[in-house]
Amino acid sequence: MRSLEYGDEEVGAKEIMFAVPSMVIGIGILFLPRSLANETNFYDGAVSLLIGGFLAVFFTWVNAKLASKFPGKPLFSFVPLLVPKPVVFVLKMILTVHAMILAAYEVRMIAEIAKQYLFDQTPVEVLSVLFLLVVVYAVSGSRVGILRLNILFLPIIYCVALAISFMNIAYFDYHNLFPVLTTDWNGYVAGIKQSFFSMQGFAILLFYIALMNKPKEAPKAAVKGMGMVILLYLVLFTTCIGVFSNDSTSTMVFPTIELAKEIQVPGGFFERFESLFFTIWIMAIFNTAAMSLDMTVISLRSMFKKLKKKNAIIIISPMVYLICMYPQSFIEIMGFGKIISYSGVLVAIILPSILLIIAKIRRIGES
Amino acid sequence: MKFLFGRKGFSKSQAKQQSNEDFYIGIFKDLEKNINNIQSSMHSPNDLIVRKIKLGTTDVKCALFFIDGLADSELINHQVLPSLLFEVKKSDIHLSALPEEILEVLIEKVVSNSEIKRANTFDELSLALLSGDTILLIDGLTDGLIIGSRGWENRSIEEPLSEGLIRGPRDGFIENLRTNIILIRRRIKDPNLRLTSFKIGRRSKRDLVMAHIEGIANPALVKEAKRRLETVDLDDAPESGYIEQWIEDNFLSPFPQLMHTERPDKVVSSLLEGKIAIILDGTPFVLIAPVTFGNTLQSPEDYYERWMVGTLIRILRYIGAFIAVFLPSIYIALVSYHPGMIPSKLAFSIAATREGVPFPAFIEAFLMEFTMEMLREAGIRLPRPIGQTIGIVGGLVIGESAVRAGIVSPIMVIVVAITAVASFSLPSYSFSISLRILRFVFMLSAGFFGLYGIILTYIMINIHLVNLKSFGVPYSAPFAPNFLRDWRDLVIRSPIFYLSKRPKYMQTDDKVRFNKEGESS
Amino acid sequence: MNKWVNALCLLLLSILLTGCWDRVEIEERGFTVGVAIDIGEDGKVEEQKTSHVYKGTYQLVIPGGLSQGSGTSSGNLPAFQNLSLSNDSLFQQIRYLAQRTSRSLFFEHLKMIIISEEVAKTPGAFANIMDIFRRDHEMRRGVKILIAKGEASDILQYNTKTEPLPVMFIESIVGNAPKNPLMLQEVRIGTVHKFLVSKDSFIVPKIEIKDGKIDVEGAAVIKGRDNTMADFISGPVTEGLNFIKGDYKSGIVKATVDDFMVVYEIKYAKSKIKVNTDDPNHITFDILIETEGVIGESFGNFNFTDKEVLRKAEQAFREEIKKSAERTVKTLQDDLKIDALGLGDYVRRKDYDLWRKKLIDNWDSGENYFVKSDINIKVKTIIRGTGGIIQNERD
Repeated sequence: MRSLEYGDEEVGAKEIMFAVPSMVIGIGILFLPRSLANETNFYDGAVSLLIGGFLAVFFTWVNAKLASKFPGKPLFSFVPLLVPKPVVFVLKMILTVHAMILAAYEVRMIAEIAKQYLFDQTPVEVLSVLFLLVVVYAVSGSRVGILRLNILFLPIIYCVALAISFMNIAYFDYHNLFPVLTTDWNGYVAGIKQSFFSMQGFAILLFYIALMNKPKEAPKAAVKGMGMVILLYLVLFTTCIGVFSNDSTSTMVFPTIELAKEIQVPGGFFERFESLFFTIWIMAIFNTAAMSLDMTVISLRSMFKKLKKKNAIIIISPMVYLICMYPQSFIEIMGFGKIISYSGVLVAIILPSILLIIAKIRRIGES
Repeated sequence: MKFLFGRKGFSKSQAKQQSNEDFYIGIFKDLEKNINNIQSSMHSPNDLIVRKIKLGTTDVKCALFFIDGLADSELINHQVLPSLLFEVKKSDIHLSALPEEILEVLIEKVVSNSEIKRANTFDELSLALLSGDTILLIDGLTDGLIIGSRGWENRSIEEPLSEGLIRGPRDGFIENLRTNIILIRRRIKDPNLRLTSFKIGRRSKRDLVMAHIEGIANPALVKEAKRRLETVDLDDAPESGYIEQWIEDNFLSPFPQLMHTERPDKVVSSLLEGKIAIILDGTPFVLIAPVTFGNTLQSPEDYYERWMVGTLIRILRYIGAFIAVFLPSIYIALVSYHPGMIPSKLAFSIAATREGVPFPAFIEAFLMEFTMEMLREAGIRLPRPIGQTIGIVGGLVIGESAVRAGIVSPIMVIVVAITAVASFSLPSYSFSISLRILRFVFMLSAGFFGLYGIILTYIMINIHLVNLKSFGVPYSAPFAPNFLRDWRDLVIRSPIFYLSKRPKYMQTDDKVRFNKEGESS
Repeated sequence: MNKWVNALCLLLLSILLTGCWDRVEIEERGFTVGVAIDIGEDGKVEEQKTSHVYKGTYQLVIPGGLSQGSGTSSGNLPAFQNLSLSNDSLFQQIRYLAQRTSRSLFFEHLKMIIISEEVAKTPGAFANIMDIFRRDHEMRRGVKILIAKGEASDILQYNTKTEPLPVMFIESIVGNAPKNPLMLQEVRIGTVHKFLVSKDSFIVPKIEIKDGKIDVEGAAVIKGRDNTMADFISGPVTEGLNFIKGDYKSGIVKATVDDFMVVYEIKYAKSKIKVNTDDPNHITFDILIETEGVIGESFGNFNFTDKEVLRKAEQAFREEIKKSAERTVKTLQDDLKIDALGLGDYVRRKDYDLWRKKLIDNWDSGENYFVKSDINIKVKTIIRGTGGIIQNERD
């Protein structure tokens, strides 16, 4: 039966508020404590985290404001209004490639971590393919569906993340946090760079605000969402340093997962909490990957107007798979991460800022 | 789905009877010809009674037709016949009077029946006859009278077998449409209750009634439901399940998108929430649409008991649903892939009990679950007292013997038993079947990829749920498009004072059930 | 056209079905609950890449033996199996052992690692051994570490009737640490990791078999600089250490009041440490130990409602505790010259610049500022109650 519209396709402020954390919380948080601990002493990473977070919130606001000026129009509908045509095409290329590499990166990371912590022999190729198939299934449904998945999964993710923080209280030694403010300026700046990189992802606002009924509410909701992310990062970082101390944290690959390993549930009902933690975290990364792939599909379809969604997915998925299998070692995967961070800066920061300024100066779009 | 796009309704007036019979679809003026015609259209069945009379003291010949068993012979004997034979004396009927006036006089002054209608087509008369009404044909007239006289054997109203409650009304629907509607009407004495009739089935021409409450139900929903019902083109719809399958949104989904129930109180409360009900003649199962995930785990008893009890039992049900779906797959995943997650002592004892078992956990689980499913089916088919015992004894004995023989481990038997018990805690039978299907899917993915498989399958099910719609309402409604206010009645059941608003996801026109003191609506 | 695509998809997907790469049924796994590392014999190992060979002894659980319980008829399976192998790489030991047993070694239920004192005293060996347990993802961070006096593998042989598995038995004893202040609190891989990464010195509980019985009193002191064990400290010294570090959970102190023995049962103890870094050559630590407890046993005829009696008792206890703490300080400062108390951490937090510039490499090695520092101990004891009776006899 053809379904009735019934007005349920509405996307409200709540969906946006949940979408931002879902996109940002992914792989980054797993190794962010280590990056921060490397650059700073003791607990000073928190300072970098807050400053980086503040910057991230600001640029989230920029993105949301830009998108809300053009209600109902996704990114590539209003970009042509602001910049000349050849620039638009270049932008589309960059965005498509960025989103594709991002999706591939997420898939590969998940497969790698799954192989390390859940399995032993299973080939990474198989794990990636399975994950990619589920992501493709999500993207081939409705776009609003993906946003709803965010709402379904985010509370669970937050619960687990906060759980590993609170269950580690027994091992928390607040002495590890002192002394404060002993790092030099370079350390802080490097830390800001690290934390800022792992808070990216708000570029999706440019695409999803178009679905909203009342875009005016978007900037506030997006900022709220981003604030939730910063809070979570802060709690996790504090727990890492408190439980492990700065020295240990900087030597672990995934301090957050090690936090989960520390936990001993009293009563001995659950031995290995990290398997559970990681299983739930797959949901978080799934959300990120699904939205990235969605971005890719939209960008591609905006370049080739006649392309049907189904065909776009069929074309993109193998390419994503090939990209995701390309890195040969863990180091190379981290290299991917760096590329994405830099291109993300371009896409999510430089680009929207310039566009917003142009829009304001030329008085285009609703204010 | 797509192929039903724009399908037009099936119009009764265009129906052609299979006319390789040699009878005439029409009414003659001559009574004898009519009698012969009607008789040959049905090939003179035994139960077609033709009573030829002469009206009163006149010589006007007429004939009464009815189907013995379908028509209430008491009524015919005591009311229709006497009024035609005796009452007629009181009025003046002359043959010379215009034929139409005879009928009018009969209708207005003579026949002492509450339901009476004029008809002039063969189809109407035939349908009425087959529905249990009495037909009166007068010699010389091409019009006839349909006298309402339906009455046949019915099951008595008793508690529905499939949905028993500890506390609650014990009447349930029966197979008679009229009685079912009465059960609903008695509970909603609101003139806004609208009952729209349809005729379903080319051959069977069953009556179907769609109920909704005007002013509560969203008009778009009502319109859509009407549209879908009009597209139903079946030979016969012996059970509401046929209708359900025809009009549901996604026939490939394992989840039911319409609810069915035998309980009038459930139907009534759904109507008050803005849903529509579909009642089909011939079956006690009434359909309710639209349905969300939260509805499938609700039961009327939650509301009849106090809120604490209702809340706790609901939470129990959610846990039960979780166990029913996930327990075997978690067992497989933990035992085969991640034994590190089991506490040490338990892990050792599981390993010890599994020493001699020849099959891997995955096969073992499948075998046991499959056996349970067969036992369950068997239990339904067998007559009741035997069925219950076979279920329990079979399960116990087979389980015990299998453990003794070393085919399965005792842990597996425990897992299967707990799963079975958990799945019985669900109020909706069709939903528990869906969960059974899902359980096997999860077991499969756990068998191949352990926890990773379980989690990916879970995500896939969620994707499906999020995209599924029931009559336009998103299936994951109070969870996903996040209508926070509806959470008051979702996993918990708030005290009755707080349930003043109708569910938001239904987007009803009338939003408030009752007003709290001092609050405006 | 569509049919070909479908068929291809099905074919490709069926490749996934050849999988279950990692499915190992639970009864096929060899649960390793304990590991003991000793110094092995040189020369017998092929491809020896380092100078030391370690003998690893792995205790595998035989689940069938466990479930049959104790006391049933003879002919049962034992509950465990100890397998030993010598190699310079622990990883290779584990792999080679797969040849000797029908089950694959599975470490996710590892409970403890016992290292012999010989290994701990070999420079660098301790850190090397710990590497695999930190790096491999199967190990959890909650695994306990003990250092054995003598041969570590002997400990794994220890058989007792109350527990079928030696490791479980040891674990329950070690878990009793809160009740016995002569024992050190359990030390987990997580803690060891932290100390190995930094240059701080630390302590690890000691275990030995004395007179046929398991004895877990005392500890081993590991020097932070080179992560090598210096020596064992005895139970009483450990007790003082617990007092100073604030890890003292509960215990008793025996003292004499007026020549009669009175026993003080400590319910709660904590310590406060203040550090003064004005003169780096004479850093002073002021340690205040506070305890609360009740009278556990009294052989004299004391009336504990008498304030004077209480005061005398408190003073007696105070002196005993101070003696114990000072003995510990003396052992650590004068005999071992290693800061196992974690005092360096306080300095670092008090004055990070000074720490970074001067002390970080010289705290308890090199110039050894630890030895040069003054440690002052003050004790406060509070007697909260006297138990059920006030006096033994009436006056």
